[in-house]
Amino acid sequence: MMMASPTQDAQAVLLLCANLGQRHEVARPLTPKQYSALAKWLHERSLRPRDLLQDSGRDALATLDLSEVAKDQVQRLLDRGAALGVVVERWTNSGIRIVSRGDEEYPARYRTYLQHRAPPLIYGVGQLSCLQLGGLAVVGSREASKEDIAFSQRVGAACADQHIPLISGAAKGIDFESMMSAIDRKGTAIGVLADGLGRVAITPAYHEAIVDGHLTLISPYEPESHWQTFAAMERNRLIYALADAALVVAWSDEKGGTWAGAVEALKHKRIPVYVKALYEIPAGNRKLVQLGAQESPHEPWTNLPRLFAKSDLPGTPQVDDHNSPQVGDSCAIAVSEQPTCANSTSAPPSAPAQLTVQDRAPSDAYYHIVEVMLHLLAEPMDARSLAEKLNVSLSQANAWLKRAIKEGGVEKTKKRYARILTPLSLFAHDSDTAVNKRS
Amino acid sequence: MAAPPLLDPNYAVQPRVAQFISKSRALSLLRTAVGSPTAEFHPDQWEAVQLLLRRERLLVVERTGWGKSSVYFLATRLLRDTGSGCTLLISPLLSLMRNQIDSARRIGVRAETINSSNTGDWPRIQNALRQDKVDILLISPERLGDEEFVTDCLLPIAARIGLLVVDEAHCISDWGHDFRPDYRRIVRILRALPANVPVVATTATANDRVVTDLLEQLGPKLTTIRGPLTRESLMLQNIVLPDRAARMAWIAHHLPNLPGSGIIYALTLKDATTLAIWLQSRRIRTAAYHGDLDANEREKLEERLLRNDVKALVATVALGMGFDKPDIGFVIHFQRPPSVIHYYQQVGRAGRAIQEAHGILLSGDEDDEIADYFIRTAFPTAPDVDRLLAALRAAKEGLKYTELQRELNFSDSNLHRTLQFLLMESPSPIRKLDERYVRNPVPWQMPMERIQRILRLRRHERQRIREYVTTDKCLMQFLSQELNDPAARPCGKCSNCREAGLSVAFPSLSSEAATWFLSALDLPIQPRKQWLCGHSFERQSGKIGTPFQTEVGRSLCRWGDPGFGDLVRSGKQQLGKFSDQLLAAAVPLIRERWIPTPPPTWVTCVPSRRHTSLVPDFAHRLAAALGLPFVDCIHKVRETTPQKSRQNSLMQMCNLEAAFDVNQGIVQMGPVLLVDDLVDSRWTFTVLGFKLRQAGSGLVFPFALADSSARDMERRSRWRRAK
Repeated sequence: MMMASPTQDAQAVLLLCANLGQRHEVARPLTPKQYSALAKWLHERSLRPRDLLQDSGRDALATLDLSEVAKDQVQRLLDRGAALGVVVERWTNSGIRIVSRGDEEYPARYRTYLQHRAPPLIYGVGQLSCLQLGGLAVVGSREASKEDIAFSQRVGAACADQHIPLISGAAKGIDFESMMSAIDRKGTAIGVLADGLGRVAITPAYHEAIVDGHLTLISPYEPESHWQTFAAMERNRLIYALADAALVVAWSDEKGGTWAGAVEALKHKRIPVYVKALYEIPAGNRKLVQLGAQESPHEPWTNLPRLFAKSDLPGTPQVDDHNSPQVGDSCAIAVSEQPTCANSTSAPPSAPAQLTVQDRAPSDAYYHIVEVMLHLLAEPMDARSLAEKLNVSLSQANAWLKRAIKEGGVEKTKKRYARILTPLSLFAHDSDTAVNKRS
Repeated sequence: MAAPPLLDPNYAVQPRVAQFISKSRALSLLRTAVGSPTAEFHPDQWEAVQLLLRRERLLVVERTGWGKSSVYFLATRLLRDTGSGCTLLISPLLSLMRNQIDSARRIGVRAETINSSNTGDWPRIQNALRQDKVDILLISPERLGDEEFVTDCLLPIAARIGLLVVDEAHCISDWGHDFRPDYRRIVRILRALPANVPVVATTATANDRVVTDLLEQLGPKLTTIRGPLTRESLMLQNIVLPDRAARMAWIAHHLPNLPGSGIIYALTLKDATTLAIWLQSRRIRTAAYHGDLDANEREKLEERLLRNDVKALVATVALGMGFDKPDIGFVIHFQRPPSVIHYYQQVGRAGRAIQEAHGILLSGDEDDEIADYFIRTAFPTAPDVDRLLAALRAAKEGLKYTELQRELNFSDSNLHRTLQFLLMESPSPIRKLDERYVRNPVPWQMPMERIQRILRLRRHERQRIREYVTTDKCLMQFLSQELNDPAARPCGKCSNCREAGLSVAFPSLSSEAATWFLSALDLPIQPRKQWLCGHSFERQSGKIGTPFQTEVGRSLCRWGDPGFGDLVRSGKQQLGKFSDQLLAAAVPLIRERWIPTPPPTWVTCVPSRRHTSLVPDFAHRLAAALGLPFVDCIHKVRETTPQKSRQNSLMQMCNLEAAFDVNQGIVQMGPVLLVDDLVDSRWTFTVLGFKLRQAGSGLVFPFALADSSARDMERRSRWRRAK
């Protein structure tokens, strides 16, 4: 079996935009902005990036007259073909796919929502087709409380059970926990990295999920790139663009890429943004609510697709076009780089799912108390102490504990009870009726 | 004529090159290159150059001497004249042949080589590349697998490669007789290569099946140029002599009468060395050439053959690709090669520019066994592959080579083969990241079908060469037909066409001498100079100080060889005592042939808890025969697992940790003869030598009855051949 090589369009974009292990003595790769200018120029001449590898494109290049891009720079970049061959062999042979904006497998959502800011190249491992499915973005800080981690894990499990792709930054903390929880339950998770795939993709914990198609990791950066703050900022745009709704689990202050991303997402009003609003609400979350985020619904989440409904959002969804240099050219790019394949499976993202099954308001008191109980059991304690804290009878506390143990959320050692930081099966009972399968 | 400097501000969009080059300009370049004012293009040569100038992809199948290198030299010159970057030549050659370098230089094409043996030159070459002062860069296929080399050396200068040349392209095809795993990577690179880089793949040996496979693997846009392969000067002859000694005698008898100098091919490293020593003992100037020699030594031997300073090199397949001496007078095969194509390629080195040359294939009893071995060990086993992958998956951060050795207890050659096999899969289930092997995130299954297909083919090829050995048809026609050469016809020169050839006879005296030679084939035991990298032995690590190393020792014979080898085996496995015949052979070996200097003044031996008397008894008798005292100063304090069950060097070293105790009180100060029955990894001798020297002994000379390190034929496994 041979590995899928990049298409000719992707090859041309790699030549123009990727470092390819070079030291830039000869030519600096184009910035996304420069590349967009060149892409527009090509489009106006009915050319595609791949034509630059042929005589026709070479001849046309002689007439290149852009202020952003120098002719000889483009020529030198295109001459790096051998370097491309060597580098791309290394990447593709370790399972990394490379798609450019013109490729069928490139996420249509990026073309549609990010337009000229869509990354020229996406590197990925796993099932790239998952990027077209939408889903729930789950984000939060790297340093998360036990409580928030458990919450994230329950979100992950719920997504898996209801067949909703979970999109995160795959960072330590909230992102990682929710993602692992989803793939543990054979759900679909997508991690958008702020650094190169190189080392992350070979993490043993991810291996099976990637091979089995449950986990897809992507990055707009070359596989050997290192993490950079600005990259993390940019990355959030890529997370939100793949999602139909976002859930901010915890943000303690108003810094960092995720927070900025959430603010941006709120501003653009394309997708609803939820924050976890339970118990100690961190300052960041509170601020987001002030900016228009909604509180996440209470558990059990038997109908997560409902989160995608935009009825609460004022105005209509907008594309992220506030940076367009001129009206129209961003569209031009999107058009010029549409896949040429006639029976393309990557139709533009569908409208958010409309719900047919109403969320049931659960009357079972257990569902209202379990969150509190688990929160308290972060500190192991005996049944009596728990009963006192909850101000219920000992027998009631015992009954709830028994149920939580059965569901795998709490464990008993000697006489003390403690929560288990693994995904709960709280939703399993109801999911079969509430699932709104998205395909 | 010089190309524009790299950072020329006027670096222009390159014009379409082909339309500006005239054939007469190219012809004058060709004439300058080959140094002949009347030279003409060979058929298709100019067409090949033109295709490259149009940035197309090309497969050239032409016999050696047609001028494949002229094609890429000319293309390089012409592309460079129009501002292209330098040519990257991927070839298993150590360097361009002297005559090639000269001819390149005559048209202003400057060639450089980067390989593992000239790291000292890298900075200079890299600098020259950066200043655009190199026109052709030669690298070997395995360089491309070295991430460090690629990252630090190749990529920074790969910004402008104007032409890619892949030499010996038949190695790409796993249908081919000489598939090399490193070439799978080249295929992947070629597939990833954008269309604006011209490529030429060249080979002198490819039949229809291989050409079809190459077209399939390298893509449909490959133009093929293919010429006739028959070599008219060759006189072919096959001789069946079942006995090794008989073939040795035949060669010793006939070699001096063959014209000029040439090559004798043997299948294994052991056969090549043995035969070379035998011929030397018959006063014929020969030398062994094989893959275990470093690049420098190999180059020196090639030079000696080029200067006719030896009558013959006795070589494994390591001497082959790219070696171009126009007046090789003969190629003799000591054993039957694995396939007709192998044979054609090797015998085809003879008689390129002379009227008559001999191609003689000797064939013997062991041929089938060796062929089977190569087929059997061509691929790792599925359980071994599973165990290796499981080990990597269980490891958090991947595993180093030595960690894998420890974890898996594979022999070095098996571990090497298994890793190499997995690394060359596409996509590959594993990857080497820095020093560690890690699992790639790709689904992968052992490609059983492909493996079976290749093994079937290998068995078929073995059958065809068997038929070649005994055919009564024209031998050259048989070879050409196997290569699908449409021009195949009876040659009128081979022993079948002429019904005559060299005499099969040889003097019986010579055959007795060869038999004696084989039975008394003692071998040196080289001292180990360091503890295994990254591991300590009884708190020692790194280099073993010279005063603590052993001297070069000797073993009487090889385990399993006829003659003494059989006696050692029966003494150890049946009689429980080593015979007087062995003693009678050991004494003259030590006194007359080996002559350890300064002479040992006492004898001791390696004790065993399993066979308490076997070795000490022999050592006692040997000491008495040599007139030296035996001192029982080494004790085994702990039972160890037999070394032969430890499959690799690391496990063998660790197995001896705290196993021996040397009684310092009775150790003598003079040089000592340290006796054991078998030597394998040399760790026992190394450890005891170290301890004896520590205890105050003089120099330590190891002596073993048999060398069992070549017990299996692993050392000549195909995976090591490429090295």
